[in-house]
Amino acid sequence: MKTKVSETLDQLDSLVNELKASSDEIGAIAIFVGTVRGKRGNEKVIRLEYEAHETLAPKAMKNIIEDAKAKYGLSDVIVEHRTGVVNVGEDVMYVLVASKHREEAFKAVVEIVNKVKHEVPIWKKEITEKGSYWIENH
Amino acid sequence: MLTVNVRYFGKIREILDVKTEEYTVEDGTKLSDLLLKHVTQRHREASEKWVRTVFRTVKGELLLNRDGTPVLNNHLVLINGKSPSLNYGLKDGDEIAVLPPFGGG
Repeated sequence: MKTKVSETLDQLDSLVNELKASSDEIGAIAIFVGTVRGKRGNEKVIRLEYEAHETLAPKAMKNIIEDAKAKYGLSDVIVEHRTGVVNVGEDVMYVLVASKHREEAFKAVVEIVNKVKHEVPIWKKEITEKGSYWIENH
Repeated sequence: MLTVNVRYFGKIREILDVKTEEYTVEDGTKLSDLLLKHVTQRHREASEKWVRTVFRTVKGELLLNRDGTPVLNNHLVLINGKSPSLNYGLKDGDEIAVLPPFGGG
């Protein structure tokens, strides 16, 4: 298990290699990459600004990963999320789920992404050409 | 008297224009007193927006539970990492965090 809440993400291919090296029972790795959209409706997005609770955010991610590992029997999970300024087109979040077979990896990656959006103390401000908005996940 | 530290995040931090601040209040002060009385007194210009954002209001008036405690508006208030009732009696050294609804991803 690995979590990271930081201004930078690790290289995606190195994370995949890390998972592959952790066990010879892994037969599937499902990956979610969250990126910054350039549009908010008809408005042009300039950038996003993220902030996180530096101790509670990684703790909440670990709880989500532990729950998913127990529920789906996963081999390993990595969750990383950026803080600070993230420009349009840049990656903001990685979720990698490793398991023996693809079915549980697909299901788990969806569940983990949704939980990270709703249960981890991270806040997002969207700056567009017309103004700025705090985005709340409902 | 007792002293507590309060941290604000996201929209709340922006409304009050402060990340963290200390309050020294009388013994017996409740969490709701801190948030509705002391914070609003210190941040008079932002007080109305603060109350409207953090607490549920109806026509400008605070919505209260049957026991008289206010109702949070989808915000989370943590003390030393746990979520107590707003009736909680503050203790010296408490670390309070006011968290708006999350928006990661």
